[in-house]
Amino acid sequence: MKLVVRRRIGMATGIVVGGAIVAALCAPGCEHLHAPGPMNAGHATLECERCHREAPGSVRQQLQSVARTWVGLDDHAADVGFRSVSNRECTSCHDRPNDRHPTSRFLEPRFAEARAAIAPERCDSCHREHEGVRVTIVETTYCRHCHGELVVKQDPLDVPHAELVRDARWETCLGCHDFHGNHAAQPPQRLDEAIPVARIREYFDGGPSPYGAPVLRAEENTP
Amino acid sequence: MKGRPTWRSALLIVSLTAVLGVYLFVQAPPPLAAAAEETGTIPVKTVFALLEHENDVARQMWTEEIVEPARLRGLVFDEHWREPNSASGPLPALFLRETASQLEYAAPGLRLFLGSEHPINSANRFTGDQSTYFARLSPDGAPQFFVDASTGTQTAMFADRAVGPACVQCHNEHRESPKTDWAVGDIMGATTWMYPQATVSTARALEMVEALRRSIRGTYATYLEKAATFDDPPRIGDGWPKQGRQLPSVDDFMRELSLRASPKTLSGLLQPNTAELVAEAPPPAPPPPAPPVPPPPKDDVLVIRAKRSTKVTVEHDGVRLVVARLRTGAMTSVTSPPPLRVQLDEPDSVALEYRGKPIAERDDIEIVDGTMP
Repeated sequence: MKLVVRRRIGMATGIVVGGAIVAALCAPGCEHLHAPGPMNAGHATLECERCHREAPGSVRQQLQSVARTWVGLDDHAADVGFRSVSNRECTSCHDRPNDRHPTSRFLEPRFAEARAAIAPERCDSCHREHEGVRVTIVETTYCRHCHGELVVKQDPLDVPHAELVRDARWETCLGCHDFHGNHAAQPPQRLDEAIPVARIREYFDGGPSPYGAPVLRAEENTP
Repeated sequence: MKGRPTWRSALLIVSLTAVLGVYLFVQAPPPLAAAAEETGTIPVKTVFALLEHENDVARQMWTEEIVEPARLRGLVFDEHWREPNSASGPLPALFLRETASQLEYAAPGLRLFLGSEHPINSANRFTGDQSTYFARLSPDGAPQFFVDASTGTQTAMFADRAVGPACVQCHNEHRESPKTDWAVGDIMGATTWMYPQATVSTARALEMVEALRRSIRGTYATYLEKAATFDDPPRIGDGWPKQGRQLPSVDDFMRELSLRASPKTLSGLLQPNTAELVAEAPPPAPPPPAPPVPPPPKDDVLVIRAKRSTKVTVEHDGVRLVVARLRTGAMTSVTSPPPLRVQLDEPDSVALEYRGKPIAERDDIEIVDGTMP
């Protein structure tokens, strides 16, 4: 067989096999085959479309935007295929009216240093998806980025907050305070009754809540 | 394989590039709306001034037309209003915060914050540029406009004044307050508005005002939903608390807001330069410090601390001042002269202080055990 014929047969085989693989990966029910990793705690039954929604515009418009950005005609390239996942997708289920630390508050100018350090204005800074856990931020001392000048005039805790701040014992914060304030347990008034860091880590990794039952559960809002 | 492309390969590459260029540029569809920045001609600081005007009207209505008269009718407003078991409504600062929260979704890109140099929660103290510009604003309340260095976002700060006794009383009496000598008319802090673009179209400016009103409406509606669940709910209809234990409906509240705010807002949209001048004009003279009806003496404060979860009712001369369920460790207070009647559904479930002392042997405060009617 001539070299040219063999080459064409090889190319055709490659196209057919490659196409079959792509088709199999995109088939309904096979999403897990191309997901970046396991879903986070509580998200196992979510469909991909709950977070990955179609980007606006036609494919041609999206490609046009990318090309215009490449040649310097636009500042921002549009999303191609699916739009970037943002806080909007998270809050469509997790919007809580009494959140102690809503992401929007961190957009204020005075939180610039905290934004540079841990990006608290984005849900996925702490809750990166496809990691198979609940909380992905590594440090448990992140309160230090905003509460360094904490003042509690009538301190209910046996070890004053001022002392904890002075000694940089930031790992103790989450032992009493649930970051989003979404659980029923009240903070203890004795530091030795605080939740140990190991249990908080376990919770971060997808374990049971050490803060009691949720006050509000994630809602199945409209997408 | 040959070392360099043949003329056929070169032709193919040139042809594909030409087709791609025609596909993407020559016969291109209109750019995506999101990518096309609609800039317009109205300076965003003009829009900030109009939004602040709308916010001022809403805040003054909430403070003077709802909170202050409703308190005299026995309704409670405190910082725990979002707690599931709290039978209360938002204090004026929290009404603004709730509005700001709803605004995040109603008008993407537009942001509203409230802060102070003397906040009850120390985490809300201004720092950096906000502290600098607040110092410039403080002497006479003149609005400040600047570009936030960290995000490149257009930013405005407006004076937040104590518009009524409710603001002053709460901040002076709160046990975590770092400053306790506030007076009506004082600049207690500032609102901060942010938006990405320096200019907007008239249509976009109108959308932003509409989004703010929608957020105010949502906040008031949330309060009415909560008020309907109180043990002794107020009547909701066309009456205002000055006339009885009642609250205006959402439509009535927003209609009144529209009547008060629209003339200046409309004028500002039609004549943006005028609106800008209004924003930079000296602030109006503070209201007279002496209200027509003097508030109760500061000393007449009844503090209720729950040792365990309980319901509590406080009455003065047959008027209910507090009807609330307190969770373990929760605290609430009410300012009223004696005599007072405190009704509990469990004996010894709370610790009571009046005028800073336990009420062990006072005969002008009656403690009644038993389930509330």
